[in-house]
Order: sequence, then C-alpha cells, then structure tokens
Amino acid sequence: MRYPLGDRILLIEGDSSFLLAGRALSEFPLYIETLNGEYCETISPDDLVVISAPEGGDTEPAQMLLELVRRYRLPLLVLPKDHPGSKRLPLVVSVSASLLLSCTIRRGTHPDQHLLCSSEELAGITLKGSDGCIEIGGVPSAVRISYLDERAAGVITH
Amino acid sequence: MGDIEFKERVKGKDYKCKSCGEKFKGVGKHPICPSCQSDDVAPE
Repeated sequence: MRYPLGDRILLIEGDSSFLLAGRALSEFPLYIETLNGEYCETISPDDLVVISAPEGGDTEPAQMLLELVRRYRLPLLVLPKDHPGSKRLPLVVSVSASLLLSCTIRRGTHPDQHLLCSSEELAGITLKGSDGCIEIGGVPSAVRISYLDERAAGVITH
Repeated sequence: MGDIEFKERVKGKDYKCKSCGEKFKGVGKHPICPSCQSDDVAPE
C-alpha cells in the first residue's frame, strides 16, 4: 500500500498501540547519541520519522516528538542494553529510509535505525519512504490507517 | 520479552570535514559535516 504524505502524518493504529509516520522533509544531520559516542547520519527529505507508542495513549505527544525530530532536529538518545529506563519510555523514535517494526527488541536500546520497537499487534509492519510517499507492508487486517489531520474524515481502507 | 542479539551494531566511520576541520563518526552513504553541513568530507 502506498500513501502520499507530503508534510502530513500517517497514523497506524492497533487496538492498544499506534505509530505515527512522517517524511523528514529536508536534508539534515541526525545525531545519534550512545554510551560509546556520537554518530552522525545524513537524513534525506523522503526518509521517514516514525514514532512508536507500544502502549498507545494520546497521539499529541507523539506528534510533538515527531516534529521535534524533523523540524527542530532533536538528537536521538540510545540507552545501553538492560538500562532500567528502557521500560519507562512511552514513545520511541526511528529515522530511516525504510524500517521494520519488531516486538522482540527492548525500547530505546537499538541505535540501528532500520528497526523500531512496537507492540505485538503492529510487529512485522514494514515502512518505506520514497517520492513523497510512504509504502506500508505486512499490515494485519485489524490495523487502521488514517491521516492524523483527517481522523474525523474516517479511516483509509486498505 | 526476548531480545534479539545483533552482531552488527552501528559502526560509524571516522570523517574529517575539509571545510571546517570537524572530526565526526558518520553512518550512511552520504556523510555531511554536523557542524557546517558541508559534504566535502574525507574518511580519516
């Protein structure tokens, strides 16, 4: 499934969790801060900024976080494996041209941007950004997809 | 919850910016300088 994005944000919802996905919109250096040092990755306008909320909740803070990363270039912080703070993260971020949602990783501990922690109901979904659009694969039938600014208008069928 | 063990973690390459002299670890195919945004960078 392919959805035009422009500067809009797509909401991918399960019963108890959700993802937000938007284009990076511009080229910029993304800083990835780890215990072992700082890495710098060049982000392209069609790369995706994806926020995962494995426990669901309000979409507003997730939207704020997405904009902090893509418009205000907030660095990403990576926790070391087994850090106690991992379980306290309600939102996790990945910025990549393509990525896979997985429920078998620990939140906030993977610097590899092609993999993002999700709930089990959204695991296996693949996202890829290109030509102003997002391509989504592996979507379970119960998952709903809509544009964040058009939620009242209803769900996109897929 | 299980955890995948990755053999491949982020492996940045060391670069130096030819424009401003900044040294940094870059990942990805098109490194640009984090300080001055120049793409005139060279592996160290």
